[in-house]
Amino acid sequence: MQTKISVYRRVLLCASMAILACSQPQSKGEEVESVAKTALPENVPPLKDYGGIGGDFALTDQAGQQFVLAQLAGRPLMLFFGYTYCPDICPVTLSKMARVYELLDIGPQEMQSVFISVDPERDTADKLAEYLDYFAMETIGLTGTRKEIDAVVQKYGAHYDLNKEAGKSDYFADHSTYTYLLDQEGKVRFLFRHSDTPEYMAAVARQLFAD
Amino acid sequence: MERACWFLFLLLAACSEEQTSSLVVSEAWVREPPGGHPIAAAYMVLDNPTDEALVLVGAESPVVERIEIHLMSHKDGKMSMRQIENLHIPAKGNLVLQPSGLHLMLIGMEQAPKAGESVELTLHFADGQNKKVQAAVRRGSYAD
Repeated sequence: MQTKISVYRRVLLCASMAILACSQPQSKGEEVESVAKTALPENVPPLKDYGGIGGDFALTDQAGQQFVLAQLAGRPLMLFFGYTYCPDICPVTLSKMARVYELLDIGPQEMQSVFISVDPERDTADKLAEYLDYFAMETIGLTGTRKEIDAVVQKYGAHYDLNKEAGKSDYFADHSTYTYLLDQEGKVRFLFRHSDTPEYMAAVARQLFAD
Repeated sequence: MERACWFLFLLLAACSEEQTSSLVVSEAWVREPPGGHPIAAAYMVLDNPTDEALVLVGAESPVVERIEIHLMSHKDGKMSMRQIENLHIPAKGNLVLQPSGLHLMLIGMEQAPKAGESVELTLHFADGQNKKVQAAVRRGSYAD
C-alpha cells in the first residue's frame, strides 16, 4: 500500500511537472510588468566544483575603466560571453538574467551580471553601454584586446568563432552559450545551459545565499 | 435548404481558397534589436495547405538592405549559425521560424526598428509566387 501511494505521488509529481514545463508563459515582451511571484523549482542540482576552469582576469568595462574580477570578491555573479550584434541567443540570455533578479528579488549588490564581448572590433565601450542599458539590470560589460579576451575565453573553457569573411562587414559569431555562475569567492559553481529557464537558474543561484 | 446553403458556402470557401495565395503566414514578428543596431531577426509560422511543397528562396523589404535565411543549431553548449539558400515548407505542413532555430536576418536596416512598429517583408518562393507580410516589432523576452 505504502509503495502504491508513493507511485501515485510520483506519477502526480511527474504530471504536474510536465504541465508546468508545457505551460511556460508565452510572454509577448511584458517581462517588466509581470513580476509574478513564481514558485521556484525545489529539486535542482547542487552547486558544483569546476576545478579546471575559471579564475581572475583583467579587462575594460563599458565606462572605459580597468576591471579585475577580484574587485567583485564577496559577491556572486552570472557571467556570459557574447557580442552585441548577436541577434538571438544573447538578448534572450540577458532577458533571462534580468528575470532571475526579479525572481530572487535582488539587485547587483547581491549578485552581479557580467557580459564579456568576444567581438572587440565592433563592441566598443560605448556600444556595450548602450546595449546593456536595454536590459532591466545593471550589467558590467567587458571588452579588451583580442589577446586579453582570448585569455579569459580560454580560462573559462568557452569558445567563439567570429566567422569573419573578407569583404563582409556584417558577420555573425558562433559562440558558447553557457552562463557561468560564480560564487562569492569567484569560483565557477554552475554552468547554465541556454535551455534552462529563469526559474531553474534562480533556484540554483539561490543556493549561494543559503545561510 | 439549409444543406444547400452549406454546400454553397463550402463551395465558395473552396473557390476563394483557390484564388488567394496558397500560403498562410502567421505570428510574424521582429525582435527589437537592443543597443539600436540596424540589424534584426524575424520569425514567423509558414503554413502550406497545398499538395505541393513550397520553397522559400529569399525575402526583401523596402527598409532592409539584404535579408538572409539563417539556421541556428545548438549543440554541447555551443551555438552555430549558418546562412542557408532556401527553406522547404512541406505539402500540407508548416515550418516554424523561431528563436534559437530558423530566422530571417534583416541586415542593414535604414534604422533600428522599434517595438510597436512593423516591418514589411516580401517572401519569394521558387514557384514564382510572392507573399507580403507585416511583421510586428516587439521587445524580446526571456521566454522566447
